[in-house]
Amino acid sequence: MAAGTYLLLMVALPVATLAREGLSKGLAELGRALFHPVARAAVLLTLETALVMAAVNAVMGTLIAYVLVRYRFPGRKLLDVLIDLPFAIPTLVTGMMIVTLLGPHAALGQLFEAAGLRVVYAPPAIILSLLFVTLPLVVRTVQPVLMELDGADEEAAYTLGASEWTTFRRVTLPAITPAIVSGALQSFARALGEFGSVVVVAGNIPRRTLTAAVHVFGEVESGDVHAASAMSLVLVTISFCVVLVVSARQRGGHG
Amino acid sequence: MLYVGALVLLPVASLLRGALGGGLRAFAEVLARPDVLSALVMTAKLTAFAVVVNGTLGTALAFVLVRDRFVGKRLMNALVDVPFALSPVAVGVVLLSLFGKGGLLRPITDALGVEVAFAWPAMAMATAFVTLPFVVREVGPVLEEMGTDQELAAYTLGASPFVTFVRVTLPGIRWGLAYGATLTMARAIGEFGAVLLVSGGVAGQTETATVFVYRALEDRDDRGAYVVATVLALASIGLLLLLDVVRKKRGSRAEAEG
Amino acid sequence: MGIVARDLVKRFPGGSGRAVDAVSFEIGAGELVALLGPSGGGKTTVLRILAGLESPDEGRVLLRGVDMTDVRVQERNIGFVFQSYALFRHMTVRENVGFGLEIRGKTRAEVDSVVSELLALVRLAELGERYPHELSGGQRQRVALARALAPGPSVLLLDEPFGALDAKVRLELREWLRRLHEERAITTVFVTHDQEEALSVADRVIVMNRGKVEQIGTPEEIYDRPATAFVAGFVGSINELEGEVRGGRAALGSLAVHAPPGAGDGTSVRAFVRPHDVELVGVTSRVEKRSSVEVATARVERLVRIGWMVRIELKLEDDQPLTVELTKDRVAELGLAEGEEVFVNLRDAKLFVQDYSI
Repeated sequence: MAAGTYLLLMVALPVATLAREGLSKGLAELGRALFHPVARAAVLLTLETALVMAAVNAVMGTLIAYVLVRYRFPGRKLLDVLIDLPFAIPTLVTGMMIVTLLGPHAALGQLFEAAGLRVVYAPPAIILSLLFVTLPLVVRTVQPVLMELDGADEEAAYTLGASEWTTFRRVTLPAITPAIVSGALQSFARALGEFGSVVVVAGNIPRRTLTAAVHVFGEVESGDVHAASAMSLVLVTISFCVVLVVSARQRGGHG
Repeated sequence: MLYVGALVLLPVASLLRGALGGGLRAFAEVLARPDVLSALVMTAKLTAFAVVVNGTLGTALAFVLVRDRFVGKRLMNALVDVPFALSPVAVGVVLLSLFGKGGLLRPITDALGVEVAFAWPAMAMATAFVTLPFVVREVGPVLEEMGTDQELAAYTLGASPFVTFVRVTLPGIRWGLAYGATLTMARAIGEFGAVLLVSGGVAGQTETATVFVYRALEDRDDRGAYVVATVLALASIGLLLLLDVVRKKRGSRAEAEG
Repeated sequence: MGIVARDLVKRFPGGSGRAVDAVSFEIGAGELVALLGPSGGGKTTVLRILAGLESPDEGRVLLRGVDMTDVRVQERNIGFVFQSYALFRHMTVRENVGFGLEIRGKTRAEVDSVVSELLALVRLAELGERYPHELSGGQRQRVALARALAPGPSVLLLDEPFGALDAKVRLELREWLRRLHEERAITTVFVTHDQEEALSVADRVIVMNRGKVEQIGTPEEIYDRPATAFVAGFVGSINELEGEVRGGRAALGSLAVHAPPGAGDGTSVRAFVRPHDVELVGVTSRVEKRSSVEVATARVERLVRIGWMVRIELKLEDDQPLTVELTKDRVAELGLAEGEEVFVNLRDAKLFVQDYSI
């Protein structure tokens, strides 16, 4: 009973509050808050960076999981532990690390700058920090599924004459695709709301490097809780839908 | 390998260089600053709060979700994951619209004379909220796997429900609980977005370590920012290693049980 | 009386049907009794009701003459061995066995001496510091038994105690349970779906099916004089023949035996024939047909050699199958081969009037 009440107070109430606050001035006002050019640009930027990140993450995360499961090499254990580091390190610290590494005062940053590529205070840094923060999600979803495959399927394909690449494409990949999609969706949902690392690396220039979550923060700072609620409501709705899709897929037994 | 190295190790190394650039003595001097100390203590307090609250109520929630059958169980199960899906800033916004100026619950808290928003109660709530799912999600599967036979066996041997819980159930779920609690700690220490919105941001009073780092960056107090960020990073790396140890303990047991 | 169950009823959750339907029996102090039946027959539920792990919807449970129906499981002073053993995983063998004593506030020394004695009894004295996951199935089973015995229960209840073990260990433990019972003389009830196990270990057997008691009796009574068609079919029989009463005899295809008492002409009957109750007279080409009407012919369909026994699958003239078991020497003596015609006769059959109401 106590547990149920706790859950209701902690979870259902906040969501209800957000909906109430966001809709308190009617749908028209909600629309105005969202279609304000700054807000619209923020939402678009957030979706774009999250999409790019999810795509890169799907590929690289699968690769890392594959290497971790199928190959034995010195340092594998360490690598396995390192994968979880982004979960543990505060996101704000992640942002700082990226600025220190690639910022205008850092050697690497100047190198990129000389090559004409602006990383920090620009979209690439946003994508980079999102990649860091969500790194474990795809790896940790795909890894157990790969482990369960245990290699016998692949060996069966080899005995039937399939090359390694064909085997990966025709046998392994289809088996782990549901897990990859689940992991990518989760990282996408997580990226939409990411704040700590982005606020440090993005520069937060309205219409150019201001993401939705940082926009919410800005609105609160300037005292417009209503606009902040409206934007939060949009973020929550999108990521909640994604999470629902993921859990429906899992319940359906697709990984 | 290279990808992980570039994405994970390089940033960590560069952070350490920034913090230790002035030598260990300078590092210690920054740590002794009162505003730094108070921020670290604040983070420790909030983390302890989150671990205690979610450790007990999260475990209770896991019990309800695994053992009981009732209408709306699936909905309740889905609700547990909401904090994972919610942006931290959205959590902050919610707390402000509940307890901030003109907030929904403001009349009640005013009548009671409690200051919630821009003070530690809201920060504690934010921290507990974002870490809610960890214990539930770690203890749940362990409970499920354990079943009720061991508890019934204790009953047949004459143990009361309380004795059974303390001597049989709790030891059975201890590694799951430990794992969930460690995750809770890691997340609580690093929580920033939600806390930033509801903390008053008063240096030396309502600042957590992460909020301090943010303000220090804004104020161009780079040394302070780097030192505290390094402490946070080291704490999380320590917790990560702890997680690995707990996972091995739990894993070896589960495997041996077949 | 050790245990009395009086009109126990337990309904399925949701209300439709009864898992346990008016079950009554009495078990004497010091008896070793098997609850035998197919899975889903309600026997485990009865055992759990005796233990107090479940409460009956109707009926009473008496242990040592005291009504325990409303007494909590903790206070019934029973020992229970779970099918999964349910050993406490985080405790060593010694800690597991000592648990029941320890929570009763016994001193360290008392607990230690009882635990040592019990571990010696179950022959696990050297494994006291091991954890359950470091033991084999048979060893875990014995730890579970020692743990149940430690607090000195007045009744020992075992749920499918040998179900999860391999055949050899199962035989050993069976033998061992029998001896343990002789030494300790504690009232014991065990649940099993294995008729051989029930007949070879128990003093008496309670056969259950569909929540009801089919028969209660000694292994001999159950085997020799099955009270119902179900018991006859479940215990020991392989052959089931159909036929009807004609002229005061039960005709089973080309075979005939004495009719059950009180069954008039035209009554349908079911006969259960044990493989060793079929007499194989000989191969038709080599034996002169005797004048007895009870001798019929059958064709040998298959010979299956199992160790020193041979299972012979026959087909009667009306296509009803019949299985016979003979030693391999006897088969050689008769000169049996697949495809040959043989004369068969029934020494004994358990006959039941067909119940069309089912």
